[in-house]
Amino acid sequence: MVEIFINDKKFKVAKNTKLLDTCKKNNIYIPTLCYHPDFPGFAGCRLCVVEVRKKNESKLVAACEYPIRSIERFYTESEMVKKSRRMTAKLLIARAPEAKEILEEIINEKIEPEFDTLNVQNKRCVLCGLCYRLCHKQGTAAIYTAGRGADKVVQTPYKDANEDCIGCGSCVAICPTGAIRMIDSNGKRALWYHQFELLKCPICGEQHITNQMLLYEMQKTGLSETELSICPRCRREKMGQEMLRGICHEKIVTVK
Amino acid sequence: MKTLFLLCGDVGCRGYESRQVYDKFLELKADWFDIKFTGCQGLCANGPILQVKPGDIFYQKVKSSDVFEILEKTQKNELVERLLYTDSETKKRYIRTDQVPFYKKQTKIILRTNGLINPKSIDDYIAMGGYAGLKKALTLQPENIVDEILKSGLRGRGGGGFPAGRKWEDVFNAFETPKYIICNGDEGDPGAFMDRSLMEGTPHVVLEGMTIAAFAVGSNEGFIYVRDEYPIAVRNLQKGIHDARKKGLLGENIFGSGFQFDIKIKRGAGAFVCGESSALMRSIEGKIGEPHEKHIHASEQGLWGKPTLLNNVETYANVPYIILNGAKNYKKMGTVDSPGTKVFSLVGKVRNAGLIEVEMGTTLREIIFEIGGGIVKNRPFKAVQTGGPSGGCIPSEYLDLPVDFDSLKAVGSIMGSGGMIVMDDCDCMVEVARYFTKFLMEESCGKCAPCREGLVQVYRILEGITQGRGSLEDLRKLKELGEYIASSSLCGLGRSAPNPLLSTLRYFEDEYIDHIKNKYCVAGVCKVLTKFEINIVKCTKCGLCFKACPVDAIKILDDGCYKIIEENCIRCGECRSACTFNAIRW
Repeated sequence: MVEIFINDKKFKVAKNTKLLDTCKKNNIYIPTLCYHPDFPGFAGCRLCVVEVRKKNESKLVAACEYPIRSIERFYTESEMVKKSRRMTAKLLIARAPEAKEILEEIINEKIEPEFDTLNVQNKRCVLCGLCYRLCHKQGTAAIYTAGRGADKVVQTPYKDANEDCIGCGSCVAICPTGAIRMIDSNGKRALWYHQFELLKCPICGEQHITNQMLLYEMQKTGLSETELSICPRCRREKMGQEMLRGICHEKIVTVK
Repeated sequence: MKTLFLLCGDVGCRGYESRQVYDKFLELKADWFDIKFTGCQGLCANGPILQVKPGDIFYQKVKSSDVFEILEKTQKNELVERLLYTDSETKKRYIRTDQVPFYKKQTKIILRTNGLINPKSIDDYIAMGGYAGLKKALTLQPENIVDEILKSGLRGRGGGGFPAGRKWEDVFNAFETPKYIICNGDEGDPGAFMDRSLMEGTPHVVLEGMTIAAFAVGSNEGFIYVRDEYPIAVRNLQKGIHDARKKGLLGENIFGSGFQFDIKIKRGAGAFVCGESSALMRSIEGKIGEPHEKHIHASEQGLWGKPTLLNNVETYANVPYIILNGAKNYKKMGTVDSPGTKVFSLVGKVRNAGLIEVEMGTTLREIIFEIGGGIVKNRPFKAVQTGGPSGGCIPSEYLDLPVDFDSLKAVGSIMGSGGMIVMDDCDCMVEVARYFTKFLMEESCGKCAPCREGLVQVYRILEGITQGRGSLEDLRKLKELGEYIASSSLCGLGRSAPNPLLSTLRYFEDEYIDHIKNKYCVAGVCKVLTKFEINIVKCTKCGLCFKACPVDAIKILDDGCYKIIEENCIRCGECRSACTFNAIRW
């Protein structure tokens, strides 16, 4: 166990715990954008920076990846930290003006835009990397970043429809700024240059799953096609009924 | 005894057609002499360089048409006077290599054999005492080797100056296996060619150093990460590895000791960020070369999560010398905190541009004015940029600064891998900052927000200032952005990226203010803020500027004087560089 001080308050934590986890556990708010507990190790957005104060020098570290190893003093709301976060937010707004509200929400502060807007196509993407890291984590790996530096964009290879994309829309769901476009209409789903055919739920008839997704999930989970083609709502209903039936059956048995 | 001609065959001299000179020698091949196509001999500005042994005669700017005369006169024990090195000031001629001022002040440890041997011949290297360090190392205990490196105080030559011995010790103590050895040859700085020259000129010293390191820390597999833009380096290293394997100096059972080690070459695709250790390892693993947070050192979890020893080319090249001569002798060179020597590529507005090796602690003045021979055309010295694109600009008041890791850091620059770009009064510091920021902006991997977004904004502001659109508010923004990028970025590239900006702001703020307030570029570089004129008092009417002007903007007046027509002038500065009388003012 290591003793540390966060904002001058003493905490005891196990060695090598990440600073962000400690803060979360103790209800100390630290803004994060690119962090996700399921795929850590990125530390790209730098919004979670925290000041580490030693005798006569201070430095900023990213809380999400910083392992606690010795007695140290951390400050999560010092002027240095706030300045850095504010600047990050201002710079990100210059890239993605449409993500202003969400960034203000994250750092709990009104931001005055200071820099000229960059000439990029997607006015929402802040390049937090959640979408492609999720896509890789789930094993599909259909999207990744292309280019480097300021020209970096999240893309499919060669900006073309990618065979590996199953049209699941996980990237859309995880995106904090709503930067990825997915349109479901007339039984079709448009995502990443693809047109996916949507299959109908055999019970309610709702179009909810793409064929590629169905095949992928069958392969991953080993469940049958009929089971997977039922939409989530119907599945819940069906499971509920089955459970109910089971409980009733049990009751009948016990009553006897 | 046969006469030996050593002709430089490295990139700089090849640019001056040394290949043709070599072919001419082969054509006139006779029994009484030998010709060797060597690695870099140093004085790249005056290439192709030719040394004659015995006698150490030093010829420069040799052309293929000179070969016949050289052969004829050498046979008669005469000199070809016009090819000797001549001091442009004193007009004194130097005959022997070690008399030439460029070589006189240098201490060659790492580059000892560079320029004396055929890089492709392992026998040449062995004849110069090569692989003796490895032989001795194999008779020692691994922990003693690590201890020796620790005691020598050798610091990583890649830039950071982290004590190499401590890395070695950590990997030696690491529990997990296998362990890996990596040599970082991804030298991407514009204007730097130290590692390149070493890998091209003496590839075996790198292989030997790596093998010693592998034996010391207990590794059986090594990688050399070379950028693919260095084709000669890749070829020479491949040949070196092949030959060493054949001789039993690599592979299984090295020197019959039972120790096994092999090296693979990994070619980098030219991303600057891949010189950063964590990005480099990702790149070797086959992933995108992006850095990671380094709270866990590579010595614990490096390549494929295994303990990894990663050092620079030059660091490994130091190892055989330390093992052979002992840490005590090594420490005699250099300063207390930075022992040994350092290779620099001295370029820019300096007379003797080239590859040099000096003891740590040599002052900038000695390097630039004694070895480098001063500034071209005797213009005033303005600044020297050390450490590549992410280094800082050091002004003239620090000319007597001893060059070592800590003193450079103290004045806002870094040692880096050893680039040294000298600038005179025709270099605009705002433009220098803009140029390097542009390079870093393009080479930023784009993973973390401060480096990716911050550098773009810095670049935009700097571009604005050089085009006359700056405001004093911009200076505040620049300072704020610079400090922010330095404190908040993820990797070393980002954290040192604002150095060119911050150091020029620190030492040359007047120039920024001149650009902004007076709309005037003191160096005459920023086109919008410059106006060239001919100083009639100084003008000798020689017409050199007239000939040099690419757009015919210079007209001859009736009285024989020249005048620059402002509307036609594109402000390229060609007339200024052509004028030998400093008669062009701006």
